[in-house]
Amino acid sequence: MKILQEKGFKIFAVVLSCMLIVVAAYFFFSPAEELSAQDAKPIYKGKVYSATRGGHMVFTTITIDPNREMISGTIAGRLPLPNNNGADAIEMSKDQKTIYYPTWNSTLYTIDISAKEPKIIAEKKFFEKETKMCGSHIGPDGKLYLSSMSFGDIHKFDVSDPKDPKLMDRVYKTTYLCGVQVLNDGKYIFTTDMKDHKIYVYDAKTHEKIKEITPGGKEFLHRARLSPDGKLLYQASTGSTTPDANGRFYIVDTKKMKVKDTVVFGVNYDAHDVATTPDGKYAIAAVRRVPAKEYKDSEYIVVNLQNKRVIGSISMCKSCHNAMGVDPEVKSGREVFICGIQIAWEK
Amino acid sequence: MRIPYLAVKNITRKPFRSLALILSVALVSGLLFAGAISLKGVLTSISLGAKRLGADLMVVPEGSEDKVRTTLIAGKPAPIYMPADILDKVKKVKGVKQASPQLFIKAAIYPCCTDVDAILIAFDPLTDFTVSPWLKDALDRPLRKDEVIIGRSIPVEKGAEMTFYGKALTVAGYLSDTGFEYIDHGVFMTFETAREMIRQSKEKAKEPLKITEDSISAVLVQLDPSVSPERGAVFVEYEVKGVKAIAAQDVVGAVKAQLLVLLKILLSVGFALWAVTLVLITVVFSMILNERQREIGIIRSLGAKKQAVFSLITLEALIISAIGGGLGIGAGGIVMYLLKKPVMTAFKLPYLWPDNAFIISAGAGTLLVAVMTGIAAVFYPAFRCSRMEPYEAIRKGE
Repeated sequence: MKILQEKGFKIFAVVLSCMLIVVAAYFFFSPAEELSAQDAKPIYKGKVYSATRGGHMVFTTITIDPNREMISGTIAGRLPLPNNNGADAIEMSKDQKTIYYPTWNSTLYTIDISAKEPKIIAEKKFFEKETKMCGSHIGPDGKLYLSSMSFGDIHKFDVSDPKDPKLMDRVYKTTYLCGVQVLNDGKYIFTTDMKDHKIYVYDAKTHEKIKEITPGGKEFLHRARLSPDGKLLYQASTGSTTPDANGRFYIVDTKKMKVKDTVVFGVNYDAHDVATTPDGKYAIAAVRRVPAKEYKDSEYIVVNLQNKRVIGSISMCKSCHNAMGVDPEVKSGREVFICGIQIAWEK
Repeated sequence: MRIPYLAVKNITRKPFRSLALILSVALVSGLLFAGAISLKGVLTSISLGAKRLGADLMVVPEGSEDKVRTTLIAGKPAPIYMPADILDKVKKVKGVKQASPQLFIKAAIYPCCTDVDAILIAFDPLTDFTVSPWLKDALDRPLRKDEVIIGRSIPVEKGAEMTFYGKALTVAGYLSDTGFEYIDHGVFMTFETAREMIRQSKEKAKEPLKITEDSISAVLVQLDPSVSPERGAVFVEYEVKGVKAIAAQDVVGAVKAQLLVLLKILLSVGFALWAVTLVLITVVFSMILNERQREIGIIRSLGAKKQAVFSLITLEALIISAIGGGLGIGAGGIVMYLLKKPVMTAFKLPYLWPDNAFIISAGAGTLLVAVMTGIAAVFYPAFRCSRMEPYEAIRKGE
């Protein structure tokens, strides 16, 4: 007790306390803050808008956490189309406010997605016959390019007034088109022919075919999407023409016009479209589960494009149908699956 | 005794039964032949008509597409009008090489006027590229004011006068037959004549024409060869408001779609009848051969070979099906020739009687099908019968 009352001990205790406080303050403030700033990557959040064969547009939330390589998502809602017609193509404006949604029977819907709930603001029958639009892209010229499966050509629209889209040209005819992408500099047009199993590259000025790319074998090549920098083209494919499919997407180098890599999902998966995160680090593939009658579902599968590994998937049809107690009938032209997807990313 | 003689004798021995078989073969052959010549007739007519139209596109007021198709195919003029300045707008569109206006007027059926089923078509000789080239065949000089060139289906002589809306017009020449109502029932005149007729109708006609002076019905467009009709149509509709551009091939396509429906019906009925006929001939010949077992046994015992018996039965079937086929072709051709007009009018299809070469080849093809059907139908009964031993055949036949 005497020792505790000595002056030397008091000084020692005060100094020790101060040191402890300083050390604690150091660990509490500076080092911890430096760690999160260096290692934590921003989380991607967005809404996936999907074209379906069921007469409605589906929208699903998506969250990708690159720190833990995890994803989450859930069906956020559906927008029934007045004509109850199926669709494959879907295209979002660059400002993420408008979606162009052409149904198979050649009706182009303009959907306002700026509010919480999407709303149809225009409906236009642009062609008498069934065009079955499959691919879509808003090119650097601001025009909307839609590819027709029925006619095998590209229909170019003037969408300067989103409420009154006008057909202004029809070009690049082959046989059974699905994908269409206009390279960022607008010099080349990439189209994907399902029947020929080829990607065709056209000179946008002369309309001449300058290259044919055969990514795989006899398989149905579906929609395609350019990477944000335009250097790569992600081409979705069945991977096989057998009913089981061997789904995948090809990564095409747009400069060399050659396949650079492939991400294979395997049997029972039929890839229809690919989107990417704004930085191009992750791919989100819309994939149909096959055999169709057994699964009645499509999923979006998130792939890390750096190591080409799948990090997760979310059901886009069945999760909602099951929750609603719906078991849709599967028949020709009215199947349960999602083809085109567009993602509005939060900024 | 020779096989052909025996075959004919056998056929004539049971005339009712043979006649029934002949008629059933005739029915199938007639249907096949009539179907072939009617389809060919429509296709010939539509392709010739589209060629004669000479334009890649026809620009008409929006919403009047169906009426225009009716005008072109059925020759029923539709009252479709649009301002004449559309012509200048169309001329400026990318890919348009030439453009020329036309005006359609329905021929009035009043006591004042010539009572014919006709469509009055005004064209501009200065810009026209569709009517003028084939008018040259009918007239070796430019068409003058108050003159008309008429289609083959209008029963008026060259040099005669026709009166429409109180205006007398002289027939300067005929166009050759196309089967395309728009041309075959067309009364072609210059815009100058038509405008005067419109003006005069206000005073002279019982019911005046209510068409403004600057109206046109359609603009016919010839495109630059580098621009396809489908692209040209898109360009015109994009650049010019309130119009619809119809590609000539679309008109052909619409008729072909109609034909496809007819063809499906025809093929279904034809196939069903053919199957019934095949079964019928097989059954009837099996019955005949059962009845004639004793006779065949005797023929065999007299020294006839199996092959001879087989040939005899096959020849009977061949004769029956050939007669049936011939009758069917004749009847089908006559019925088609007599009824082509009402049938095609009912289906709103143009029609041109096919050339002799096609009719001969269609007839030969039909006859071949009929004969092959007969032979195929009796093949098994004939084979079975020819294999029978003479003694067994005579015993079974007793």
